[in-house]
Amino acid sequence: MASPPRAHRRRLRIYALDPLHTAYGQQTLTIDVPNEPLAPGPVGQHLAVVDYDGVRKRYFQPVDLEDPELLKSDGLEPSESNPQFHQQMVYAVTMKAIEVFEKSLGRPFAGFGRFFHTDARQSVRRLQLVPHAFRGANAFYDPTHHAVMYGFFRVGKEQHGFNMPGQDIYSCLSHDIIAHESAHALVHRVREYYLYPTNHDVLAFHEAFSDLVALFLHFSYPEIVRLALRRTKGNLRQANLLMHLAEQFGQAIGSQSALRSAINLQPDPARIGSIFEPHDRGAILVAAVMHGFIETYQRRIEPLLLLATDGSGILPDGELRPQFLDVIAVEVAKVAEHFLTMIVRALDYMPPVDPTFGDFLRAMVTADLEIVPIDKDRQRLATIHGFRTYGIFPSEVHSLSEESLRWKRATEFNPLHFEALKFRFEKTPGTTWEENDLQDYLLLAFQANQPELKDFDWGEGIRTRYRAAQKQVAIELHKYATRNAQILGLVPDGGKAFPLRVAGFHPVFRTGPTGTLEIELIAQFVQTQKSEPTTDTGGLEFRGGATVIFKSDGRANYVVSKPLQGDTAHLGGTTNAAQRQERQSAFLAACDDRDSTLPWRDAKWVATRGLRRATFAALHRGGLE
Amino acid sequence: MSAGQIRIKMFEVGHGDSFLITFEQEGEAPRHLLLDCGGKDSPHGPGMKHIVDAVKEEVLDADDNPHIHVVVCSHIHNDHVSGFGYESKWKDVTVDEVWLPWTEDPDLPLARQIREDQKRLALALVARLEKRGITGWPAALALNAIPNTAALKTLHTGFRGPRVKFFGHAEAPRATQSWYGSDALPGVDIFVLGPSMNPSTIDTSKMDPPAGQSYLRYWAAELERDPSDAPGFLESFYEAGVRPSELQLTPRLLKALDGAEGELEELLAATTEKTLNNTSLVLLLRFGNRSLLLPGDAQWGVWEEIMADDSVTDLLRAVDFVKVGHHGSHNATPRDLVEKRLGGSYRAMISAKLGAYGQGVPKEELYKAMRARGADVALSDVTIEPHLTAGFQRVTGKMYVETVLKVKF
Repeated sequence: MASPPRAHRRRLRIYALDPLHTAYGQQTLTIDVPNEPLAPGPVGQHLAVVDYDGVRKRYFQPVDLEDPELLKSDGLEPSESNPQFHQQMVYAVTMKAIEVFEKSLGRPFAGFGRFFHTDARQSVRRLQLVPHAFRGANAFYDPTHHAVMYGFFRVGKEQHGFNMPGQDIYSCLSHDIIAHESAHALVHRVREYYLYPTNHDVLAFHEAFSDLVALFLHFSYPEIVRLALRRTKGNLRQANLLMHLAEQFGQAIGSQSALRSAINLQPDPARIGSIFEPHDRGAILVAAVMHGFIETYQRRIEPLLLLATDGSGILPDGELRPQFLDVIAVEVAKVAEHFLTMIVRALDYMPPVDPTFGDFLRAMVTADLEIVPIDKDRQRLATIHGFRTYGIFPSEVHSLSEESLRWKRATEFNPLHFEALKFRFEKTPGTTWEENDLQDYLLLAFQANQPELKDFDWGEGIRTRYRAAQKQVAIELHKYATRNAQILGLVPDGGKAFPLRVAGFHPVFRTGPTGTLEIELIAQFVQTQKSEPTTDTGGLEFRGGATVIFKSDGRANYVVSKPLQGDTAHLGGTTNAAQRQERQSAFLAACDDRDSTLPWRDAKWVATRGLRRATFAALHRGGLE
Repeated sequence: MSAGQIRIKMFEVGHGDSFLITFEQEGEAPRHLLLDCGGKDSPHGPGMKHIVDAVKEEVLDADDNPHIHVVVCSHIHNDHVSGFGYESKWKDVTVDEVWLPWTEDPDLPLARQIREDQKRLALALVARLEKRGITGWPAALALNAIPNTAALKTLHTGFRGPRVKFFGHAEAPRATQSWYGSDALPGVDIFVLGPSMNPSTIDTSKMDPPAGQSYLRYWAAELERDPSDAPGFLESFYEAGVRPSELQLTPRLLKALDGAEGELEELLAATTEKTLNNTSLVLLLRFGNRSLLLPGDAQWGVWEEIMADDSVTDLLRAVDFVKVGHHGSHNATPRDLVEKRLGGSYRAMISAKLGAYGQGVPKEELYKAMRARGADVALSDVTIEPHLTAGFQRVTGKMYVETVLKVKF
């Protein structure tokens, strides 16, 4: 008798809102994540929950989510006291975050199979999640060990603030904290150099982006929005509604959130020039995007509002009808989902190194224009408006029109024509067909990444050929970058003094504006300026790079460059290598001014201080300065 | 137009500060200002006894009685006040005025709160570090922050006859013009540039933890708690045997987790030091055509505010002498101050012992940068070459380095 096909989704229960916020009771939610075979832990393809009690230094028994009884009941019953439920929750929400990234970026994550830190000695294939890693009030992603550490603690008698004295708090039970930390790990997966603070936007961007992912994921569940809406007793004024929801979120996510300061942040364009601290700076970015989110949401529910109020647009006093709340909740969730997709997609259009807030705005606009040329809900416009309101202006544009903000397409560069990317694969033994150019590679990639492939015998053959092809593509891309270094803003024939590497590449599969399948190849090139031993860079070398988006016929469509020499005028930009380097030194000095531990550090620490400051652990400790 | 001079004596206290500034005007008796009296590892003998005696010798009046017109305590770190701990030695010293930062005001509730919180955090940190067997700079910094009660007693009530004044009061306007002139120092214009009027520069309470609580209090409470006071789980949830190594966390990761606590303690020690430093009195004294900048140990946050204040720009540019803050550490004399704000040809003195707290204090790049811009810098530590340049002298038989500025009125 044939067994039924494997289910696509697995349902798991989680806490919807932080259980410590007893104002909401213990609200639970059932979410669904892609179904994959799980070993006890749970341990899947990308994730491994390793439940180690960092205080008592013992391991907990891992949960077996394939247990038939658990499969029947959507996993374990949510519980604060059962660590196995904590394992389940951390797995579920992290999987959700991964799925969001995969969908938005248009490709499956080929595992967290690479270590990015240079002194890694062990190759660990999965992202480790440690739900009870240490006693403390925060959580952080550790890029060196490729693990997310969640802290847990008991609130002191006099520190309780919002909670009860002696209350037990587990950061692994906060959906928003898990989403935030997962976002750090996922951004790191696609942009490993964003960990190096080369300007004052870099760490702030990491924080703000992770907050936005958590915020929008949080609001993408209509049930959660509904729950939160019901709690707002009294009048629901449109303008305040989302602020209120965000406030609850901010309190839940606690101290490491930039959002908390973003809530009541009055727009003041002058602020961005004077704020230094990553959380405060990140808060401005969060506030800008949220501004766009609120504007978009308000526009979307306007017709509903008019309907519900017979054309007056004025809501009555007192509690609103449940049906109206339901409809509003669905709209909020939809807009949140759109924004989540937009911000994640923007990552592909960001440079590989030295990002700024302005880059992010341009990347969002470009990425969105590629998918949705007609901005029906004016989501893009609202976002641009939000950036303007909070004073975030990309330095190299002369207006905030969509056209101006969009990265210049290669067809617009004048008068250079990019060489098209073409290569011939070597014939791999045992294959039945010849792959001999980029398009065939992309098609092979498409096939190899179909999830159903795992179920067929010949699937493994395709995957083998794909992996072999990838190695060759890497080589070809390196040659391409070497030949076109000048145009990309890099140093040609740099040799050992200016090592050039292909930092990553992947095919992207997405639906184009007319509904057709678009396949592109995105590559990141990074070149390092090896500095003299006497130069004081704090261990942060000066780097340049370019993200290139190739169409399936090998034409470069977009080039987002941070030049290592010269400028980007020939690419339609105004970024300048000398200015970037100056900015990087100035930033190191500014960090030094503020670093109260610096006078006491030994020479070795000082020599690598730029790198040492690039940790999420420090960032999430609350930024004691 | 009369003439005069300012004599500045940097006492060799080892690592610490003690400066005697004497204002002399033709036809008038000299007026003395003692700026701090504390230190450790003086080359002239253990403790500060010898230094205190030496100071007293320099301030004898016409009747051979020790008379200091103004005693300034820039902030209460032990290496700035330990000398005042010899209560009996100071009993016979007449002092007209004692200047302290507003955080030392016994009658101001906000000041009391900050003092209590700082003391609590210092004590908690010392206790925790002792328990974990951690020595080195975090422990030294924490110890330095514990209030020296004997010294404080002397400052508040131990001299003969002083009026005690508190500066930089939260309600007083920031000094931009000469808003204080003291009877004890006629002819001297006194500009108070710090401590900050902004409590959060001192308390850093805009940072976490929860609900805008004072971080000092939060972390003090946190350190006082037993580290094993954490949520517990039933025994039945734990694994009985040993799991295969590929399912364990790597030893490196475990080590990193253990190390995280040490990092936190380092950060707390440095932050404790910084917040107390940021209560420093930052004074600019003008006598005739000469200006002295005496910033105590004020660090970055305070300097940021000062340099953002346009009304102070001209004052800074005209400075002729700088008592370099925080023993020549990196962030007590910001780069911008040296490169852009101060004029070129001033004299500076750094009272520090290299190695007292590691190799970062005094910072070589700092005094090199000052000298490169034309300043003459004297260092109290004779192991650093060159420790004296033109304009300074070490007087044999005396325990100080001296410089003299000629003054025109």
